[in-house]
Amino acid sequence: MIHLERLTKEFDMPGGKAGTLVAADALDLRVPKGEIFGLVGPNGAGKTTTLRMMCGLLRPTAGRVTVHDVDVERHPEEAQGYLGYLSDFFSVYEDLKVWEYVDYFARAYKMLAAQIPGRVNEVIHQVGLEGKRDSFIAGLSRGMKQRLGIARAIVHNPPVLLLDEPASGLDPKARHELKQLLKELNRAGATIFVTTHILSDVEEICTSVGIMEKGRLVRCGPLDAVMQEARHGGRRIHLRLAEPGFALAEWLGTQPGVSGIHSASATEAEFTFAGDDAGQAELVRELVAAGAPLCGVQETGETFEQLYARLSSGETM
Amino acid sequence: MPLWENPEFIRNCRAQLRPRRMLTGLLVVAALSLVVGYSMHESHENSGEWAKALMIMGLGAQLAVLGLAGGMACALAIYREKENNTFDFQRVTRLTPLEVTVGKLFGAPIFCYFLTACLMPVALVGGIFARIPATHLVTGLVIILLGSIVFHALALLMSLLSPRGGTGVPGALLLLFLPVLVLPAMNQSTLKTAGPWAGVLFAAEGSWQTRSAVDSAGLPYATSDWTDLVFGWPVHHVPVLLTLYLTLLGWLLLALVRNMKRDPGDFELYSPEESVGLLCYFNLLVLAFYVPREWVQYQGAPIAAQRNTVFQIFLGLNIALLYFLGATLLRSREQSRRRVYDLDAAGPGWRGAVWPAGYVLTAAGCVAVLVCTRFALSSMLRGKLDPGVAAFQVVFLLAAVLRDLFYFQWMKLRRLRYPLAMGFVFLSVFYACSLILLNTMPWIGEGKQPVLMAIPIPWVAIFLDQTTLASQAAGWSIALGAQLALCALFAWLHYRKLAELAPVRGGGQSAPAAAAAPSGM
Repeated sequence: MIHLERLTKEFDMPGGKAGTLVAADALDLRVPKGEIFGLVGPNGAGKTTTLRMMCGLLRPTAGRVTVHDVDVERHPEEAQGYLGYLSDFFSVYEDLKVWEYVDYFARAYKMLAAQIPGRVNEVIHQVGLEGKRDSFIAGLSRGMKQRLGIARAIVHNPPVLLLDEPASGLDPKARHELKQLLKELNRAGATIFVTTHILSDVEEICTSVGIMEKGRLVRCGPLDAVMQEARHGGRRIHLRLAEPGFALAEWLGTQPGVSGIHSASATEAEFTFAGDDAGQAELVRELVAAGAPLCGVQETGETFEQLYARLSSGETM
Repeated sequence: MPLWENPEFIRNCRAQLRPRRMLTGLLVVAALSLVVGYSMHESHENSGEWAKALMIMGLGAQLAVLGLAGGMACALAIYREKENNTFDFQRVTRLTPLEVTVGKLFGAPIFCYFLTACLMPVALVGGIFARIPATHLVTGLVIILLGSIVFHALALLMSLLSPRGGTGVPGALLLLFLPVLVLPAMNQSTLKTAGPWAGVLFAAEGSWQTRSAVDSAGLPYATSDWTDLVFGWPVHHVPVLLTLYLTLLGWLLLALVRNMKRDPGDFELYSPEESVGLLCYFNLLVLAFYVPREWVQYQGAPIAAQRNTVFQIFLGLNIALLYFLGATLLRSREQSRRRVYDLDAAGPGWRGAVWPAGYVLTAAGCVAVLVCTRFALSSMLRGKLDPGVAAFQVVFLLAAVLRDLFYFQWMKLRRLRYPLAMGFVFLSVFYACSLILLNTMPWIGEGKQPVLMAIPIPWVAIFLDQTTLASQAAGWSIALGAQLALCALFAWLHYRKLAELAPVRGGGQSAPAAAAAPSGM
């Protein structure tokens, strides 16, 4: 559905400094139909630049983007018909009414004239602005304008949605509603490409993910696969003893497959174990045989936020 | 897509033509029209004169509202959208660049069109009472309308090309171009008033008659205020003006459509081929209306121009036009970088370093054919033109134009905030200093001064004659060699800049040294 081939964008360093800023470094990426792809990375990683190249706003230095097998640079109008785009700033025509704004974009995306009025009302309802249908946009709150931006992006029922920080500026309720809307659109067949800073959202709604840093994709794939791959070949296990007295940390340190002890106390320890289920069962059996008063074994999953923190090179989100 | 279905046009209509706003506009125009009409009626004893003055006032007000206020609306149309970050959302819709352009061209000044319509009764009442023929009034209105649309297109183009954050830029540029549309043509031309004010004049005093005659020098001239001579043939000014407006509008629309949905980092006013076409178009315009007549008349009678003078005029004009052509073709760092990436292993090469020489030379060839066809075989001109000197002048000046264009291209790739402006400043300072120094060195003989001057300031070669060239042949050859050497120097500097833009292998300066390889999906 979305295909990036050696997509590259270079800029001059800002402020007249020598050197080149590589905002996108030969990105290769294929997002199949029906995915919700989350692109995360710190400020300046190149996420917005990548998104702007994908919708034809920015011409790549090299490489190409195809959407629905249409080259965005060669056939921009055709490709843009498949795209709904929401940028990280929500600029709207303040001198229009809400319905006029949505109607303008329905026409601009060349929807059939007979379908437009019904679709405009439907979308306004979908984003929860039905009470403001005839109000001037100038009087809307920030969150409402953001919802209007979403209405603009989805009015023509695009099969691909490119959303740049869609949740910025939304209150918690509106954020929740946005996530529900995105899931709903995805269920209806839309492929969604979203950049975000909110990592918990990625884990909640995305089916696949890319971590971008300094123009490069440092990890990319289905969310589960990325999480699995990033575990360095081990699972994180938490043990709890009923009473102190057993030197748990020392004992673990002598066991094969135990690669890192993350935390340890008199009665608890958390460590990475490089083994399968049988290996884990054998470890527990030996621990009990060694006289440890074991009362709890728990495999703890690393959150995406923890994974990102570990993989990123100290950049702030 | 018809205009009334154009989303951009509809948006502008909805935003600007709110009932309250329209009512206010209508009431203001009505009140002013009544007051001004009454005061005119009282100040004129003759009713015919009063009506005519009223019509002129009405048409003049329409021109001011549509031409000037509408022009300002267009100048701010895209500029404001860029400031408000709304323009990008139009660029990602399915609207074609032509649809966006047409929507903005007629939509942005829509309130001015409404006010113009409100002023229509004043012009019509004046015209009817003054017994102005309907054809004159309608023709006048068409000229005003079409002239204003040309002006709107120019303003829209400036608005599109203005960088974001450059406050007042489109307006300032628009004011600069205003005289072009309102000033009457010069006395050496057979074209009458070119601005849309001609519409008001035609409605008031127009005539459909065309008359021409031949003067004592054997040159054709027009004997009616509404006759233009096109290549010596009498043609009425109205069709000439309308054709002029339509062709100008065509060129402006071409630039607008080409750039409307482009990445601003990749703006290109015209393609190289279109630029050559534009140069030929300007030459054709000048050739069509130029009368080869000396500025000063002999005892009140006109004199046919010297062949040499005509050559110099067209040489000078085309040097300026070639400069303009070259300037539109210069590549930015972004465009050069993309080109270098496209070429990849082949590298920029020397062909890239001498950009845009190929198109400049092609354009010069086309212009030479046009000018020679019009004048070389003409029996109207006096004197003879030495083909050897003329050829030397053309080669010398072309080398000089290329020298400066290569310099500008090199400057444009330098890491400066306004590289072209800085390049222009440096070059101007160089010209000024050279001029002052060479004029104040007493040890340079009078004979040697032009040839020495021609090295830094090659434009003096426009006035080169056979005697000067023959007496300083070696000097002029050295001067030509100097131009070619400077061309080579700036082409080499440009080549080096292109090499700097070559693909950054391994992620560039800021890419991480050892990032994990991304997995496919």
